[in-house]
Amino acid sequence: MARPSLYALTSIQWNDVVRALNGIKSSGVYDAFTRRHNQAMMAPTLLPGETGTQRNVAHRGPAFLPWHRQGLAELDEEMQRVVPGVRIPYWPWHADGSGWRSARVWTLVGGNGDSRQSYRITTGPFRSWTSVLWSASSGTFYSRAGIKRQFASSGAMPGAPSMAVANYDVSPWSEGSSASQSFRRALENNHNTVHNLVGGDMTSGTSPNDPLFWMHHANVDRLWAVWEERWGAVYQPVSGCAPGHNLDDAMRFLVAAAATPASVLTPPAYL
Amino acid sequence: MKRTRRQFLAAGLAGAGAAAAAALPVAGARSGGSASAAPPPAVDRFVHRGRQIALSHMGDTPLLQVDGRTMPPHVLSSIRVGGQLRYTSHLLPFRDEPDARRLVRELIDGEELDLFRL
Repeated sequence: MARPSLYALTSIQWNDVVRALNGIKSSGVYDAFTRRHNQAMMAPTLLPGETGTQRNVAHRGPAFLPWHRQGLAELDEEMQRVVPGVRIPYWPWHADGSGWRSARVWTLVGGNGDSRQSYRITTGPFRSWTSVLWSASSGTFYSRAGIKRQFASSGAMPGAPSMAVANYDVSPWSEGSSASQSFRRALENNHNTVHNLVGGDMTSGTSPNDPLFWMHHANVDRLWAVWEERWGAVYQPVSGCAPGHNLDDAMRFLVAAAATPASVLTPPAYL
Repeated sequence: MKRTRRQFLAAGLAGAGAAAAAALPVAGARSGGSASAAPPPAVDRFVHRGRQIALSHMGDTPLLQVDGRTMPPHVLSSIRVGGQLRYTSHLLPFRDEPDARRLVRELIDGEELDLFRL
């Protein structure tokens, strides 16, 4: 079954997505995804003596796209235990442009946070969720009621990155890679902008607290799939980057211990 | 001889008695320091949302105290990309900032919003 657009779902299909997400939230399965994402964020992934990067297990490096593709597949699998056949839809943020604050997405997932309630969202089917958050000083997670969004007062949603960039990634395989030469880097940049525009919980390492995170990443993955249609299921580097970012390296902090970039290069189907 | 982060914090931040004195770099103040050794860095002190911030550097490495408490390195770090120093935080991982003060203020704002705890 292909992954659908959030904007193409019928109300019945959307209700299935909500039911599945609420099901894995209430069982505690969902929060484990949030914890793993934060753990991946906190794990620097550098070569000995390497500087000039804050690359971690899942970001600022080539494995950014494969790691999140595997995460999406694992989330789908858990959701399908609640509602067979359901998949997390993609939010086509690249089409929302400068009018994103009034885009249809917010009528589905709930809108901006309420400034009188510390930007907690008070509308939509996830308004009663709790969040798992990170304490830097104690190195532990704690919980807080609600999901928070604080829309940026200026800025437009980014467009899709150029599909004409032939390289999946280029040295130095990090945030130092040229966005004009590295498709991964260009797409990760645009992805960062989306996190920061939505604001609130979406800005932190525990950003999966907001289920919009997955719809955002489903669109990131779809854009990668479009690039793969043009250039093939290719990946760089085969070797030479820090562990976890080479073609056949195991990616940490996922459910599947054996997942590698190579194991997820075949793009899923998108509607 | 380079000082370790711990030595630096003990001598330069935690042990600094007078804010006015600490706000200025003092060349050659270290005992046993050679003439070519870098002077102790300045401490940038400011208040944001009532929190007392002390921000200094050891080379490119930022050192942050909030209300006298030293933050772990992942709360504020830096990278040099294309010759430019940019500040990063694992707590706000989707942005880099050329201005350390700005990122520190955003970290304090994030804690105020209870997105995380410093």
